[in-house]
Amino acid sequence: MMSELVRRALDAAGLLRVLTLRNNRVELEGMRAEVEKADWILLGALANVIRAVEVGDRVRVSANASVAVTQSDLRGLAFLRSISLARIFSAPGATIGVDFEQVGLELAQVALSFGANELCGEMRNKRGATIAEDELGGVGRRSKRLPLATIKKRELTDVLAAAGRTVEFVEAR
Amino acid sequence: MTTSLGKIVDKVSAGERLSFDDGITLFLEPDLLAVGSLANEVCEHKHGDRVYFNRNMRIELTNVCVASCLFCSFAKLEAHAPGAHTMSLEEAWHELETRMDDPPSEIHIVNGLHPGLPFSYYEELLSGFKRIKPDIVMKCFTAVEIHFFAEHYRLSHEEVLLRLQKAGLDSLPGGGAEIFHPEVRTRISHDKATADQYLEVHRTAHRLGMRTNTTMLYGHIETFSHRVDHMLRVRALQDETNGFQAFIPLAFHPDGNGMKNLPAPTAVDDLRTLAVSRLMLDNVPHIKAYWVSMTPKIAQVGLRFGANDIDGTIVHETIYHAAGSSSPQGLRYEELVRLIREAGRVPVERDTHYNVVREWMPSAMPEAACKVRDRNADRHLRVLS
Repeated sequence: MMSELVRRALDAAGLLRVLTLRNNRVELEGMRAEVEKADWILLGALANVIRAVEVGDRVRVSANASVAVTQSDLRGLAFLRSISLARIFSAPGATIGVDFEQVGLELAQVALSFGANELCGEMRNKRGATIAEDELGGVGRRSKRLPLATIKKRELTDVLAAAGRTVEFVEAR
Repeated sequence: MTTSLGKIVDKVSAGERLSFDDGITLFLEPDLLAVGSLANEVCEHKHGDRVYFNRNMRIELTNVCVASCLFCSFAKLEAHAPGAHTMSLEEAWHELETRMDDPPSEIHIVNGLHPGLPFSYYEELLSGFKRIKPDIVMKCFTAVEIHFFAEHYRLSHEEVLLRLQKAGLDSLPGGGAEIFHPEVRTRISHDKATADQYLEVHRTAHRLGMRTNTTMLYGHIETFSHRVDHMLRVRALQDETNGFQAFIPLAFHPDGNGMKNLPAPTAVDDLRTLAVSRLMLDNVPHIKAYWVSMTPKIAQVGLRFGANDIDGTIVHETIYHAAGSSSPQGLRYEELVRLIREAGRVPVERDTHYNVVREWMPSAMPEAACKVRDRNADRHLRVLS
């Protein structure tokens, strides 16, 4: 749901019209120059509204890096801006993915508020190695020695919940 | 809950002060960007496009500490424990002497509460740095350390501060605030200065003419109510003294300490906490996105969530790194300038007291630069339908 503050800000910047043009690719492209001039946080807010309406709150997490990949040397804001523009000008219901191995899980989490709805990347242990299927995590007497992948999945679920989203783990495609 | 985001927006527009309930509403508001953009608006109203940073150098002289804070991965309780270290005065001064070709403008010293050093160690430390570089600003010893000195050497807060001031102390860093509320403070740091004692040290420092910083360690066992309560205590002292320059929210890092089973706060929490700090602390001029605690990338985004300061070059940080921080130990001057510019802001190098050392020209338009980079990035973006 769009908050009143966001609606007012989008309206003042003339961006509310984008929402009515989502199925009209030609006219939407015609607005590109105007949209690209907007401040990055407004673009993020707009992309987030489109994401919520079209693909909902569920985030797919895949180990398979076949979804959208963003250039890794982009800093935080430029990266978020490119994610927002991708959502705004993509086909309705598109999947916008972020490779959390490239940009880091912190920035990937923030990107979910700027239009992204999929995360991809191998889950790794603290040494950076890919987690083996039978690798166990947890140390100490009381540890339940759960598979490390399960522990990492829980961590990831918590990170997504903190961004107000639910998670769906999908197998490699 | 008696307030809503709409009412908060109206209050902010009218320049009205936000209440405790408003603070809670801001933490619970699902629309992160709405909270962020409101904080950004307030920040831009106060500071325009300017973002401050400085050339500073951190030195941690000793990790021997009588306190046993649950969140700390740095301290060793005994002087002879494995990994315990205490620098000699010569070693400490050498850190500056080796950097005199490109010297920092500020030395930031934070230590463990070492029970075996004479008070003269700290006095000589300060005067020695001033001998090497008379105009260096010494921002040293948290309020917790000052309180420890007072108890340990049987002096009053004022006597400790006056003696250190005479030796060269210019300002106090904000560390040691943690969470003021006793429900949390007694559980995570029961054997050091209480909230009242911490605030009393700053009150005294402000009375003696020092400008200081303050912090909040968030993301462990505290609730949003504790965070808002913490901010309101800072705001109340600031109303009284106007001596705080900056508020610095510090993210808890769990590696190797007594709360290692807790997850660290996430980036969304980091950004929201910056934004709420800006909105609640209407009387504290600067809100700092401390890049060591939240990584340079998230700190950069924080510059559009209400923060107008990104700290400095730091050179060699060890406290957060002992707790598992993945940030680099220092950033080069040029890297800080680039981080700020790419956030669409104008970098302003400052000294400790926010006097301008160098203001970068806004001519190299960062937004334009970003757009070129966006176009390049688009080529690397594939969108699956």
